[in-house]
Amino acid sequence: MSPLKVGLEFHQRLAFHKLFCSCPSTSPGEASGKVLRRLRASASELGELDPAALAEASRSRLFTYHVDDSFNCLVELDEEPPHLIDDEILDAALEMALYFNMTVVDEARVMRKTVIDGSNTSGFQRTLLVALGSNDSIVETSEGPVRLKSLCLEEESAFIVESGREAAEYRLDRLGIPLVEIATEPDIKSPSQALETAEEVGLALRMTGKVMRGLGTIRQDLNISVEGGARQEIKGVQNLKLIPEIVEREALRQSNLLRLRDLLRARCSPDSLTYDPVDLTGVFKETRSKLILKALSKGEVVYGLKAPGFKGLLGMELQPGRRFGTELADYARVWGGLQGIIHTDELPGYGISEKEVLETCRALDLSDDDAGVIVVGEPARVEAALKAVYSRLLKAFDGVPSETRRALEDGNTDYLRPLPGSARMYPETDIPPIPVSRERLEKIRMILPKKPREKIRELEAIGLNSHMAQQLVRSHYLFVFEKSIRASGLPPVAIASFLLNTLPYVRREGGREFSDEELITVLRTFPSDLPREMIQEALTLFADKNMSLGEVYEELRRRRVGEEDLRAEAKRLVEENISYVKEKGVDSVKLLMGRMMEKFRGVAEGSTIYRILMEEVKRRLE
Amino acid sequence: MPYSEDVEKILSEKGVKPGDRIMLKRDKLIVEGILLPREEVDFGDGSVLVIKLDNGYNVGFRLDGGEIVKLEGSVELGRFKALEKVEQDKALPPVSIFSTGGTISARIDYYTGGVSMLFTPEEVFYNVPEVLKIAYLRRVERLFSLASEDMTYREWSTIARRAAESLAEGDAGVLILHGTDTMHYTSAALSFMLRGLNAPVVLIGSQRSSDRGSRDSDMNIICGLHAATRMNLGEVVVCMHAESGDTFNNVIRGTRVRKMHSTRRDAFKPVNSPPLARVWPDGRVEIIEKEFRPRGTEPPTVDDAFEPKTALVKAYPGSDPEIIDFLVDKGYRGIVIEGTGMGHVPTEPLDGRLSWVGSVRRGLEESVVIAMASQCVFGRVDPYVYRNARIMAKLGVVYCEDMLSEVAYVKLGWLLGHGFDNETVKKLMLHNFAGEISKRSLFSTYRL
Repeated sequence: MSPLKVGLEFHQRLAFHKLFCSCPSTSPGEASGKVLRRLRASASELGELDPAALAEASRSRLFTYHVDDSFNCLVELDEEPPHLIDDEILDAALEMALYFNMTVVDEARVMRKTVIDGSNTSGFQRTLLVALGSNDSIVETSEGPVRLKSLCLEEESAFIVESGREAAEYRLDRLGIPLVEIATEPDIKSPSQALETAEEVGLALRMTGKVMRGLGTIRQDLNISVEGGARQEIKGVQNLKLIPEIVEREALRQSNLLRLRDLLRARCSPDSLTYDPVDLTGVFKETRSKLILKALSKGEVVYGLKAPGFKGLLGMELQPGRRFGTELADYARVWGGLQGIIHTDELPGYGISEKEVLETCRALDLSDDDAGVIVVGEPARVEAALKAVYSRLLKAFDGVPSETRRALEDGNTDYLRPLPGSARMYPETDIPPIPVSRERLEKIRMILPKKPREKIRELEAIGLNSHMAQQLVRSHYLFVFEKSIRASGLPPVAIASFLLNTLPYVRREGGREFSDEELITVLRTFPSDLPREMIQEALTLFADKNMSLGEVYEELRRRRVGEEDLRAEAKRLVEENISYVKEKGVDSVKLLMGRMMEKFRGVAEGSTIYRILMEEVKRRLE
Repeated sequence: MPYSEDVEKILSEKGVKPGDRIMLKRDKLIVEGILLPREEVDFGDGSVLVIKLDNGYNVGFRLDGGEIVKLEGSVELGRFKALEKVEQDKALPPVSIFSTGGTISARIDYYTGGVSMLFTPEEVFYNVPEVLKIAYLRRVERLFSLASEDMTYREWSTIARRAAESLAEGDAGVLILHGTDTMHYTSAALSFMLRGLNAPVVLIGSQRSSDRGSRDSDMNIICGLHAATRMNLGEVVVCMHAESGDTFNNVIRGTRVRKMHSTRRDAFKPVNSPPLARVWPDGRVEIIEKEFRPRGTEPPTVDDAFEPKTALVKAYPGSDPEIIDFLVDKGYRGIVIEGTGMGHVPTEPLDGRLSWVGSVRRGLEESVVIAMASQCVFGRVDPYVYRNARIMAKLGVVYCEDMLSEVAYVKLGWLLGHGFDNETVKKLMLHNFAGEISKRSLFSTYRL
């Protein structure tokens, strides 16, 4: 494979209220209202366009925003200027920058990044560059160092509820949550190194204790290029584990596109490709193809475009399950709003008859080496789609076009839009420049979080075994652990075990997530006379039943099963299984313990149950 | 603030000016990009260099003993791309657009973030291409570039004259682009100054800057042009968003409108009156208020007299009547008091010096016309319910019924400008010239 270059953009939500207003960042509230908006493109963004084309481009979609006082104010609705950034949020970003040895700006300037897909009510995303990297700003991986390029603080986009051709709906609860974006230089050379880099950056950020956890709080963008190929920006990788697969498949896609280019060039030159769409509606006037029939009944049209030299190449697989034809379909979808395309490499198919295929080939004047692209839809959409398909066909002669692509769940990517230029960014005039003083940085430098290795040693010193210490540092719970042990009657090992073992188990069993505050409150106050197995129940009562801590522990004391009851049940079990006990001897405790736990899980301490059961078995055997 | 002297000196030594591509080397830091100017009014630090990086971000770095290297690749800042001429459909209703300033006329320089006032027909077409199908923009002219709070009666007069001229030349309507903060003062002034109006004069503005995709200006221009060309109306109106969403605009009589929110798109509300109509961006017009002045055949006359020695004063708990004395001493000819509730000022406070009775009496004796409107915004003043008001009315203060205080101010200045005697001015204050006053307070018109 050709040498690979990967850069990573790591996005992590911070655990503060929103960046440009004081709305909470966590709010499960239902939306109570809707606001309808349209976003408009400007001449300055679209370059040299005639007004008619501009009109078409700005014939914008209708956006519906779901709003509620519990999670948004006028700022997210773009009805009030942004408020100033809170010091503690900027401090968190500064801390992360210093942690990575980056050079912090002397004056930060908030920018507006143009986004008109509706994901931001204003038509732009606010973002500020906080620090730049140097050769000393490094993430170590087992395959070598990766330099960091920049650290930005920006606002999260709105959550998309539904998206269609003409309209989209968003919820405003997520819009404005602060996130840091850390970009690396393209120093990453392998799929596994990409994963390791992401993991190390994530780990470092968690060490600050100032990040959100849970689904969707981390997101990666990948910049990938292959020698001879072109840079791709791949958006929205939420699952870290998918990174190697995406890198691998993108490298594959690019090398296949290069192969396709070579095949193509051997057959013909780009000059042979011209934009001459042919109306094929007549060819299909008696068609049995349901797809086309349905379209024609709505007054839609069928058009075709000759793709000279492309025979067999449209069906060429670029990534598992994605062909060059799929890439063309992406363009038709994005630019023309069509579901897809039909191409001659896949015909006959779609209920299109042999005769119709022949007539199509004749109408498009296809010879042996040529293929044809067919699109179906409203005339205006068909035209936009065919123009986009034409432009993509043309780029095939050059190899790999630079694109912004979207990560798919299987590790493939599809086309989103062209790569943006820097023209998308201009100053946020509503927020004055933010000076960052040396004194401020020095103060933060004094309390920088420990490096993971140091932290692991510290945890081992308070009694955690090395596996547990490593697990804890890599988990999202280090901060909760440290806050809890300071005041808790529980031993550190018990708290760590609860966070690392019990909580994931609860989650797997479909239990709810607890917030850091809930966890810390309960872990700090859990009484030593209650069995530790009841921590989970305490949390549930505290978080869901709205009970005070006093009431919670009172209730648990009522529910706890005493030693007498345990012993009575142990006796009963031993008698019931007396022949088994006699046969297996002390080993029979294993089986009986399981039965006891079924009954007493969570209401009595496991070690107590075990002790009593063992006593009863031994007594009976004597 | 601009760059500090020290920085300016170093820059000029290096022959570097804003717009040049530079590299800043300082310790481990290497930054490359376009040097930007600092804004004139800026909270930042003049010794910090502002650089636009290639990724689009602006960053500020102190020089701090570092080195500046000038590189190839300067750009010209603050230049707007010239737009190509556009052919218009002259069969459409002719309209003139006058821009006076404010957010709606401001254009941002995407490099520096600086705002400048620009306005050509092409800019309208390129930003709002829909316009080409609604009206023939016979004239697009920038009268001034003023923030709306910088306007005076002189500008009102200029706008009135230009609008009247345009209508005399056969326009189907006139569109005025205006800053929003004082748009309701201007709309009131034009309502009084344009006598015998034969077509709509529509004021619009924008609550969001025009650089952003979410700007409200485009829809306000579209709806404003629909109102100017489609309505059978001979009045001055404001046409702005009716809701926070981009759904439809309200057309509100120029003397019955007020900016009621500092930032929202739907800041402009009708007061003590329904909106005249609703207008949708697709051109639909729904008439709400059936009583209005229809279009006519004769162009309007301009009656733009104005007495600048007119003031608007607010009464509040503990307010000192010396303010009235001051105005009288300074030779003011008219004062509108924005009284509390139904039109009250302090008359019997425990601290007798704070009673307004003496100062108001003196003002009236010295031939100042004093009028009363309510700071409640909605509702009607009444001089007969409470003693405080009865005293004022008895002294000779004019109670302005359901007129907005801002409108009362403009109207009083306008009337005084004509040189009538005070009794006539007082009588005319209660005459309905432009829908600013009515006998009936309708149940449905108190809607916030």
